[in-house]
Amino acid sequence: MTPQEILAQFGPREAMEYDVVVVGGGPAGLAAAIRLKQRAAETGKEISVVVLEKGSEPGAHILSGAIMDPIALDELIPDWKALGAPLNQLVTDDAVIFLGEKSAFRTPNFLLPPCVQNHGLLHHQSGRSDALAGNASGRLGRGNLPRLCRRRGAI
Amino acid sequence: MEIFPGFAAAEVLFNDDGSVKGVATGNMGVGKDGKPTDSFQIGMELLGKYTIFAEGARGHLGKQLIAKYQLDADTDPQTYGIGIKEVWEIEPERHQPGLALHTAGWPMDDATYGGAFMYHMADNKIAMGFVTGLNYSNPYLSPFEEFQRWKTHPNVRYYLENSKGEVTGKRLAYGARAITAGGLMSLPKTVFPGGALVGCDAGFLNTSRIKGSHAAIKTGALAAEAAFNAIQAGRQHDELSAYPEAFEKSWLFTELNKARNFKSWFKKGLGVASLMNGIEQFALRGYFPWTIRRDKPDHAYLKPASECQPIVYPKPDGKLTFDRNSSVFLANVNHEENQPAHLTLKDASVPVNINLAQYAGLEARYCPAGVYEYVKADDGKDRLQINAQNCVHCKTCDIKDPTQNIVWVTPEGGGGPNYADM
Repeated sequence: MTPQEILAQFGPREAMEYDVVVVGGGPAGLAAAIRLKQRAAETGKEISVVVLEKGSEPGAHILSGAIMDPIALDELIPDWKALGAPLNQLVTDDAVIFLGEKSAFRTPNFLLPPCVQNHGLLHHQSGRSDALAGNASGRLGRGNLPRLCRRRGAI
Repeated sequence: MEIFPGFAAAEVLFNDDGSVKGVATGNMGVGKDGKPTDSFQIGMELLGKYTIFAEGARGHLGKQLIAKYQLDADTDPQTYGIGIKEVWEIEPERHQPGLALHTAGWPMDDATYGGAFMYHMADNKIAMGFVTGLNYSNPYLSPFEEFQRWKTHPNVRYYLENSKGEVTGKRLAYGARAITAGGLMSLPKTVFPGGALVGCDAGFLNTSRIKGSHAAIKTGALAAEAAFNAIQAGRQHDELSAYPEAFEKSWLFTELNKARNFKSWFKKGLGVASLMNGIEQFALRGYFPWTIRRDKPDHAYLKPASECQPIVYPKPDGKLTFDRNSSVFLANVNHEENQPAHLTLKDASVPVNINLAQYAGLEARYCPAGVYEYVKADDGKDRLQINAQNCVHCKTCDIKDPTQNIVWVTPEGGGGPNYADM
């Protein structure tokens, strides 16, 4: 059966209405949801938000390098340090190396342009950072967060 | 707010006026044959005044929206990389917490964009990975095996060995994901009636810094800001033009604008790229008047196998280098087995007749999870076997398939990798 045939036979589907639907529970989607709830709290308004995540848990499908520039997190959740965010390793040395099959040439650090300098930025583990976002959002609204906290409790 | 994990948005819903009304989640409990099973449950519709799409790079709904609203009409084609990553625990004496190491050059040839990273985290753990530009031309190239052999370089394996030169580090985790690399020149219009694209779904990653998390958080927040104000003003299902306007005034725009040529220079080889990026980023500090454009999507850069040299990769040793199956095991991939394959083919004859005949069956090489395998059917003919249960949702096949015949759709919610701390 095609999805259309299934819909014709078993539909219509149940519909739930929200102000904002967010597709994806990664850093972008969670930041959107958090900001919506922050603005509602600041202005004393109500806003209904739902976040859909195809992974078994938020963070389950997230993969990045990952060194993070905390500039955007500082803006969104200024007290992320106090909240115990798992951004636990500061970058203290940058090495940019050009490899040959058996050789290696390390670019002197004084020649590194700003875009490849990571000094002072933070190493993070993406899945864990979304636990942070989950925790932060938990402060701001009702939600289905226990699973998050259960999995990522040991931050 | 409500967070629904395990629910995949499978379909965009539209109003009669063409604006986005919301999304529908996929049906659960549909069998391999497409028929409902005993556990069948029909999907749900989630309707919003605005819908924000944050699916990550090459989101399968984002791709449909970009096509429907022609959001990329005025931009260069998006270009991608495939990043493959492993987390290891290594000997304490080889661990340098705080070291961020990046390499360029070997094992990539001069014409292929690629590079590696190794970050020393806390607790003797390191994260390392290899990014290969998906605009590579040789169908024999295997991003997975490039990463594996990169680890054999003396300057890399050093960190994975003990003082006697034995590989004593232990691999803990594995994963792969496509990233966008086109930057500002490939950024589509990010709004359409009823919704917005944010983060990597739009393509905000800064390739020169290999960083996207900060851009994801920033653009998610900017779109939210615009949606909140619009809803307070009684609006719905229109264009949130305040979001792209705010982006253009933000530090993120300035940052991406400085890096706008970074990836494009690599089409001229690593030497030229290093020189020109050095001039642009070091000497000029990101302030320069010229822009390099791109004209083709990644799959169009492929050459037929007959024009290319096969690449012979070393066999995995099971300690330092690995095969795909043992790797996928460490991604904790799980899919309900009795469901239609979520790697769909527009035309089932194309893999053998085009991909195998002209491109040496390249999907078996670019897939980092062993999803695609050419096997002999009972009648002795070649057949493409799709091991959909292995899929780590990296989206590389959707990007690199020569005729765009493979279409990635969402499997049942909850399926896919289960990355912990990746």
